[in-house]
Amino acid sequence: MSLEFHLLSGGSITIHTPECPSCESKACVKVCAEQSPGPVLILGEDGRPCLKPTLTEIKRGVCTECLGCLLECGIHGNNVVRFQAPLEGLEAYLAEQEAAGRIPIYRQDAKQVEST
Amino acid sequence: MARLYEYQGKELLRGMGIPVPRGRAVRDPIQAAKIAQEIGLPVAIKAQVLAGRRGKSGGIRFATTLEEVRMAARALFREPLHGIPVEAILVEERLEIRREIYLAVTADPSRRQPVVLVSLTGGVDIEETAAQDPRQVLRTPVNIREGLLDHAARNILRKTPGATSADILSLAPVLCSLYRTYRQFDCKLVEINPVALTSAGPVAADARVDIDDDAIWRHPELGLRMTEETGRPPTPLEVIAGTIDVGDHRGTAHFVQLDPDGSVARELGKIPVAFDCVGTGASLTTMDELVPLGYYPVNFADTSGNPSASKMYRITKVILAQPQIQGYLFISCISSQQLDNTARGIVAALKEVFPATGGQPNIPMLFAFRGAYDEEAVQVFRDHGIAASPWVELLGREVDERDAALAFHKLHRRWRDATGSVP
Ligand code: SF4
Ligand code: SF4
Repeated sequence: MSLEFHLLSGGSITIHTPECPSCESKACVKVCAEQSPGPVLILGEDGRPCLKPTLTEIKRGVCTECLGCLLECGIHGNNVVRFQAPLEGLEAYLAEQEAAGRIPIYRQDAKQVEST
Repeated sequence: MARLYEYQGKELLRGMGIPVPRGRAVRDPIQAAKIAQEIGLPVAIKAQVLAGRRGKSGGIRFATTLEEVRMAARALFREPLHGIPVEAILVEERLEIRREIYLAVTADPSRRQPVVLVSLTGGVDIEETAAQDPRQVLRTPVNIREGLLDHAARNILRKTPGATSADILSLAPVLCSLYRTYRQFDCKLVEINPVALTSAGPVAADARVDIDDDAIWRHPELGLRMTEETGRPPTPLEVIAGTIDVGDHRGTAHFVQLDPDGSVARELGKIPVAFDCVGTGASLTTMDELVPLGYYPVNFADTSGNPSASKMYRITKVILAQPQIQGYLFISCISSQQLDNTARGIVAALKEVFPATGGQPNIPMLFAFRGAYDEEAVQVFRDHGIAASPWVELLGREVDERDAALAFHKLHRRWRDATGSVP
């Protein structure tokens, strides 16, 4: 069971809520409460985040797409928030570049930091 | 601003009832000869690039035989025009031109009104004519609520120096249709230079149509992609970046590649770096500081107007996809932009492109957060462990653009010495 909502930018946020009752931080709800024009995520009685505005209101921009829920859940929660943003053509572009031997720096040696 | 190619502009004008020469755009010399045969010789062969003065730069040729058509087409495809590769040419009937007229409709920002421009001395030198003798180009504002009706168009032409009755009668319908084109397609500029006066009446011998960027989404029929105006066809990354602002009005994400393949940086012996700024002023001053230190920004980016974190996430992924970069700088000007959101977008992108290190990059990256919520922005980087990377430098509002460039230079040298990366 997931909570999914669509965003003004064309992207979406999905929260895999079965993991939420065990989360002590509820970091997603806390960070969302700081956003203007008001929280999108509030805490439900079952200990899972739920939506305060309607899906239509969220799609119109009530979710500011601050990505706070995504990042805070990643470090303080159970890392169950996923964010999808449209970037039509980027993957195909990267594949084409790689095929031509022009590999983006971050795909060349991602472990370079560790080895130095 | 989205500028149409001449052949696209002419199609639009034809659809609005303005006569244009018979012809077609083609992509190889064999097709060119086929079209010439269809429409009949002699023909004009015109390179389709988004640049002016094509005639004076050899981008327009004439042919009286099919062999000449093929030779002209081959020559045009072979040589870039003003540095832009020619991917299409327009083959069209050669007009017998008796006189050349200049007609245009554009926006006058000072009046906040459309303005009609008419000159009876049209042709390639119209800019010089206008500069030398502004009276030769008549400028008439149009009341947008009334539009341009036939009698008003005739009145404009009547006031144009040198216009005859025949000119007024034949050009008024063209002017009205040009104005309708301007309004219907949300143009910034529609220009016919020249309108060729022929024995069969006025014909649009050239066409320039610039659509307002902000209105592109209203015209899916034009098949335009929203990209920055660069005077050359957009690169694939610019096309991808152009989709970011579509449908999301919260802040902007401008992205232009200054050196798409890194060849300019190589030629100049500079180190190619990627770049994003809040505010064009900060962007230009930082570039000015970086170049003498041996770096070459391979892109320009401006993410201002308080973009959402998701917009920052997307543009950062595009900026980092440039294969040749050996560093990245993000510099904000001091403004009210909510920089903690900006930071979250960048951090989300870094975590995704450097998954093995939790977002810590393998190239030097400098972030100068200056403005609203700048301390919170730095904290986001700390919270997510990215600030701990040896290749990340975080600066606050105490630095100026020169300090930031010098700090990046120091960081890059340290990175180069430690990793053995050869610039
Ligand atoms: S922080 Fe994550 S795991 Fe915790 S309640 Fe929120 S979404 Fe669920
Ligand atoms: S992106 Fe921001 S505003 Fe939207 S739900 Fe998450 S925390 Fe709330």
